[in-house]
Amino acid sequence: MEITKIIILQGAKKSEGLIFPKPEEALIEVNKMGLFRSPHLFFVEAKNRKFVDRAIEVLRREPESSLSPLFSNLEPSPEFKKLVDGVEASLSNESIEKAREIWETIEKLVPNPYATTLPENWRMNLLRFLVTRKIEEITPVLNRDSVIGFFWPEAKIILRKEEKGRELEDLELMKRQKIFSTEIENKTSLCPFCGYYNLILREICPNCGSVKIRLEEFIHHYSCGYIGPASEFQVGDKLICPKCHEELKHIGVDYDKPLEKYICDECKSVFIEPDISVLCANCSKTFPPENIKEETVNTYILTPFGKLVAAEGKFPLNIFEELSVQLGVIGFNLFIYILDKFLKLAKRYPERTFCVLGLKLIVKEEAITEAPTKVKLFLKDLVSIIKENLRSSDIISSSERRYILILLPETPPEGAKVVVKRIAEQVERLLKMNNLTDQIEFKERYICTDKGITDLSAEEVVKELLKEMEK
Amino acid sequence: MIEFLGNYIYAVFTYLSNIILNTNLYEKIILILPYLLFDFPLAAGMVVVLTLKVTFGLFERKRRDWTPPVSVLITAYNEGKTVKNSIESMLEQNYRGYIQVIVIVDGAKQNRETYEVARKYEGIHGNKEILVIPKWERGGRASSLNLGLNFVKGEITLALDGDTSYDRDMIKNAVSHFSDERLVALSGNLRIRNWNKTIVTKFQAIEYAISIYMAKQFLDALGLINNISGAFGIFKTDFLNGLGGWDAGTAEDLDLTLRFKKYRNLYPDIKLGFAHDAIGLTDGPETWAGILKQRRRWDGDLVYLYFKKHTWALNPKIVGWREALYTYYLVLIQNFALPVFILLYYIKLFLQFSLLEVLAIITFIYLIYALHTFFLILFFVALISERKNWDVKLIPYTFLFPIYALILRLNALYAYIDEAFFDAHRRTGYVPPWVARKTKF
Repeated sequence: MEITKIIILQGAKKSEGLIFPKPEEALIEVNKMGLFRSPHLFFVEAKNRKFVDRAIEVLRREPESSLSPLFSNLEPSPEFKKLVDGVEASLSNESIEKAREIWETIEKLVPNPYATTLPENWRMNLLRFLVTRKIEEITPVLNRDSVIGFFWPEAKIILRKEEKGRELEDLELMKRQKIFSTEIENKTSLCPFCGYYNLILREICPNCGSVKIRLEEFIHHYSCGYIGPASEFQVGDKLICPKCHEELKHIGVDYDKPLEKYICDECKSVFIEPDISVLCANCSKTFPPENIKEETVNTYILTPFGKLVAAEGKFPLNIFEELSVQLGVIGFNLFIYILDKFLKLAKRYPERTFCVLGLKLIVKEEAITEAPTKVKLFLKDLVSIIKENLRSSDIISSSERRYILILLPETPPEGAKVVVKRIAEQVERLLKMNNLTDQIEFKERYICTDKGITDLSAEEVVKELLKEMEK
Repeated sequence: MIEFLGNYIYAVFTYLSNIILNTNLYEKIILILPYLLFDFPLAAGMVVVLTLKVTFGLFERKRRDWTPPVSVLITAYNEGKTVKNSIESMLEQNYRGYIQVIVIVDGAKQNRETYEVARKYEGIHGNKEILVIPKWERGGRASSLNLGLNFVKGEITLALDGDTSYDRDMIKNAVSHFSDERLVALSGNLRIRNWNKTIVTKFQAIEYAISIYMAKQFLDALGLINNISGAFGIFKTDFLNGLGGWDAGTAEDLDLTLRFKKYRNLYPDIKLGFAHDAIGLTDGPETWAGILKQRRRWDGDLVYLYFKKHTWALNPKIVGWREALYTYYLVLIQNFALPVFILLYYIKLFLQFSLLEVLAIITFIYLIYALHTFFLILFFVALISERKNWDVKLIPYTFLFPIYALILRLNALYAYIDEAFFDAHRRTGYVPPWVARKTKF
C-alpha cells in the first residue's frame, strides 16, 4: 500500500499543489475529490503554533479525517501532542513510511462501523484513533476552561465536544461498557445541578440565609454584668457600657471578651457558627456543601475488549443508555430540584396539581446477546410510544439505570391515569408483537398531588414511587 | 491587763490635753519635728500644686496630637499565664498609630509556659503587630530589654513588665506628653491591681496613690522627676539608642535614670517626666513576708547604685546644685537618714520617759500620721483619682497606714545595712548569679 496523496495545509502563502490556507477548505475540497478513499496524509506547514492547533482540531474532529496520518512542521500545544503523528521541518521519507504503517492498521479494521447515532459514530472514531496510534490511555489535563476543571484532549476533539470536560459522559459510558478501565488521577467537586466545577463557598446566616453577616467580639462588663457586641460599647475611642454608662478602661479588670459571635445585618440574629452555602458560578443555584458532587478524575485505559470493539466496529448494546439518550433525559439531581419547586408550589396553591410517572424497564441479558437487533427496534418503538403520549412541557429523568421518571406539570390524577393506561397498553402490544414478553419486564406507576405528597420532600416522593414499582 | 489599758487610755488623754493646752510651742514642735521636717512640707506642697493643676491648669504640660509609630517591649520571665493580661491590654489599646509589641521571654527554656502563652498572640492584629522573642538562656531584665531594642521600629519605646497590664488609653495618653522636644523619657503611673485582696495590698494602694500618683505629679510639675519606673518607662527611641540601652546588673530602671542624669550634663536641656494618665495595673505582694522581701531588694539596690555604682550622682559638680540638693533631701535624708533618725528618736524616748508616757507620745505621733494620710487620700479621691469607686474604699485603711509605713522604714534600714556591708544585691535573685558576678561594680 502506498500513500497516494500528500495534502499540505499551509499557514499564509500559497504555492503549488494541494495547498489550503484554511483547514476547513481543505476538508471540503479533499472530500469533493474523493481523496479520503485512498491512502493520504496531511502535512501542516505553519508559521505559528496557533495554526497547527487549529488544523489538528479541524482534521481530527471530522470523522472523514480523524484517522488520517497527520504531520506538522511546528510543535502543537502540549494538549494536542498525541493528536499528531510527527513533527518535522519538512516531510521526510520516514514520515511517509509511518503514514503507510498507519494505513495498514486502518485497513485491518472492519470497514463501515455499525453505529445507531452520531455520538456513537464519534466514539468509535476515538477508539479507532487510539488503536491505530497504539495509544493505550487517555489522561486528564487540568484546565480552568473545562466545566469540571479537567479535560481529556483527544476525547474532547474527536468526540466533537463544544465544551471541555463534556467528553466525561462518553468516557464514563464506555467505561460501563467495559471498553475502558480507569485509574484515579485526581478529584473534582461539581455542582449537583449543572455539573460545573467553579463553586463559590460563602458563610451565611443560618436564620435567613443572608451573606450580610459579620463576626463581632462580645464584651462582658464585670460590674453591671451586661454582655453585648463591641460596637454597642464603642463611643469614639472609648468603651462605654450601654447599660450603666460606666467607662471600661482595662481589660481583665473592668471587662473581658468572652466570645465572638456572628451578627446578621439582615435579620439581626446572633449566632456562633454560620452556615456554609455553595453558589454555582455557572447555574447560580445555591445548595449546602454536603450536596457537592465529589467525582474522581480518571485516566481511561483501553481494555482488550475495547480494542476488540474498535476492530469490529460495533458497540455492545446498552439498553438504558440508549433509552436515556433517545428520550433526552435531564440529570437526576436537577429533576429532584425541579420536583422540589413543584411540591412547594403545590403546597401553597393546592389547585396546581401535578403527577410523577414512573416506568420500570428490565431487559434480560440473553435477549441482548441473542437478539440485539430485535431489542434495539423495541427500544426505538418504546421511545416513540413514550414521546407520543407526553407533552413537550413534561420533564423526563432516569434513576438507578432501570427507572424512567416523568414529571407531568398541571396534570390532574385522571390525566395521569389516561397517560399511564395508554402507555401500558401500547407497550404490552409491542412486547407481544415482538415476542419479548418473557424477556422484558415493564411496569408503570404514578403518584399525584392528591395523595398528600406536598408534605414530603422530592427525594421522599421519588422513593415512594420506586417502592410502588417494586411491589 | 484591763488596768494597764485603763492607765494607757488615761495617759493618752492627759497627754493630749496637756499638749493642746500647754502653751509651750517649742515642746510641741520638737515632738513632731520629723513630721514637720519631712512629711508635712512635701504633702503641703503637693496639695497646693495639684490643686492649682487640677483647678486652673497650672503646671499642666502642653499636649501634642500626633500618632508616631510606637514600640512596646514587654519583658517576661516566669509570669506564666499572666503575661496574657499584659499582651491583651496592648491589643486593646485605642491608640490610632502603629504599635509594635515585642515580647521577650527570658529563659524561655525553663519558662516554656510563658513562651507558649505569648506565642499564641504572634502576628498582625489591625494596627498592632506582635513579635515574640525567646531568649533561651536567662540573662536578666536589662539583657532582655537590650535584645528587644534591636527590633524596635517605633519612634517611642515603652519598657513594660509582663506582670503588669495597662489601661486602654495608656499609649494614646503617654505619647501625647511628648510635646516638649526636651522631654526624653517619662515614667508611667503604676497602680495596684489586686488592691482589694488583702490589707497589705490595700496599704500598697494607698502608698502608690500618694508616692506615685500624687508625689510624682508634683515633682513633675517642679521638673524634679528623678526616676523612670522599671515596670513602666516611656522613652524616645533615639535617646535610648544614644544611651546604648540598659546596663546589665540590678535595678536597671533606676540605673538608666541615673545615666540619663549624667547625660544631662552633656545635654543640659533634656528632661524626664511623669505621665499620670498613662496607667498600668500591677499585682502587689499579698503577704507581709512578700512585701518586706520586695522592698529589701528595692532599698538595697538604692544603696548599691548611689554609693557603689554611681557615686557621681551625689556630686554637685556633675549633676548641678539643684539636682544634688534634691537628691540629698529626697534620697539621702528621706531614705537613709530618716530611718536612722526615727530609730534613735524612739531609743531616746524610751530612755527619757516612762512606758506609759512613751506610749502616749507614740499614740499622738501616730494620730498625726494617720490624719495626714487620711487627708491626703481624701484629697486624692476628691480631686485626683480616675477610679474614685476603688479609692474611696481605701479611706478607712488610712488610719492603719502609719503601721505599714513604719514597718517598711525599719525594713529599709535593715536593707541598707545589709547592702552597705554585705553586698546584698548580688544575691537578690533579680539577676542570675553569673550576670551579677560579671558586672563591673
